[in-house]
Amino acid sequence: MIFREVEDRDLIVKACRGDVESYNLLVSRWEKRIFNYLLRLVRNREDALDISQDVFLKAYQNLKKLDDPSRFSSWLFRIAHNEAFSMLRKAKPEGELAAEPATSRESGRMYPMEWSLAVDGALKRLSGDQREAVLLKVYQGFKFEEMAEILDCPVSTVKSRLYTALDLLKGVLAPMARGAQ
Amino acid sequence: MTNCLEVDLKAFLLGEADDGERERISGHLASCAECREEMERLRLTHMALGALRDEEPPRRIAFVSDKIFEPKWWQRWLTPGPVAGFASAAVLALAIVAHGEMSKPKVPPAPAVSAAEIEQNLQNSFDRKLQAAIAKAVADVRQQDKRETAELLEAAGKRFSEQRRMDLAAFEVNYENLYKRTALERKLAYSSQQLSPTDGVSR
Repeated sequence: MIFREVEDRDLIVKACRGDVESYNLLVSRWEKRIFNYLLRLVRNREDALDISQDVFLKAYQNLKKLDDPSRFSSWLFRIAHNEAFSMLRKAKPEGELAAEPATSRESGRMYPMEWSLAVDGALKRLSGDQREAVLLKVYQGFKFEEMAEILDCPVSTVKSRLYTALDLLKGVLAPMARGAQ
Repeated sequence: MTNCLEVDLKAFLLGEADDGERERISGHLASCAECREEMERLRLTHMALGALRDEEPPRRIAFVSDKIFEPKWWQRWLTPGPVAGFASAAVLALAIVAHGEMSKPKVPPAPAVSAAEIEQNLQNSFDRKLQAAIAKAVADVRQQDKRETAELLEAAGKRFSEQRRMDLAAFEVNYENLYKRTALERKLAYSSQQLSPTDGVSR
């Protein structure tokens, strides 16, 4: 991980000097993470791909404004967050809780596909803010401080959203997981 | 002794607790069954969330990461910006105007015939090269359009196949559940039929 960070830093410095190949490499390293983050946020593959494209274009155009290359990941996710919410604002507003009920199954073996559907359904029941907190923490592994930077809000707000989300998810997923054990 | 309200189990689960806090929470968990149970529920939730796997992007990010989108030498010369389409159109228009201007019939001055011929030859040569460059640019853009269309079609095909596969898998699971439930209901109905003669005695 340390080597990876050093390499990213090096690539960013080179890209700032106009080395397109270095930026190419950065894109190929981060495109999957950014795409998946956006996919779970906007819930549409084509939109997620389009926004990913915009994110990397914006990042390239503003790379020189990045003061500290070690903060590249949170800076990149901040751009992704802004782009996604800009798109979502243009689309119809999302309700706090999706009407679609989550798959609930308290016992019996579950297939991987069922698990994915169940988790997906549980995530759908969260508000946009709560879901994003889960995505950044559980799936992207950011620290609370980094999440606060990405979401442009206090750490206390990040924790509140994440903890509420975990309580809601726990009610749906823990019984299923226990039943499957 | 640590109070249950003082322990942040979620921070502990998410790796946000420092060493001291971790030690304190571990000590509390060892002596509090209720918190142990809550910790287990959180752990199961976290484990379930891990079932959602990352997907590969349906196609690669096309910005500078893809070599086919890198400008050729003449594109760099003609279009040094991301809006290649507009710039190409502008350059094309400029080339047409320039060509028109340069193609205007000129009356060569009688005493300087050789110099005018040389100039004309140079102009002709330049025109040919310009026309060739424009034709190549247009052909390249068309080729790129074809490639992009093919990529889009391929990605759409893959997505369709994947969706079909997922639908079939979901159908299979639902069918199996339905079959099991029906079998169970039959079994229960059969059992209740078998028991019914003795029901009257107990009543």
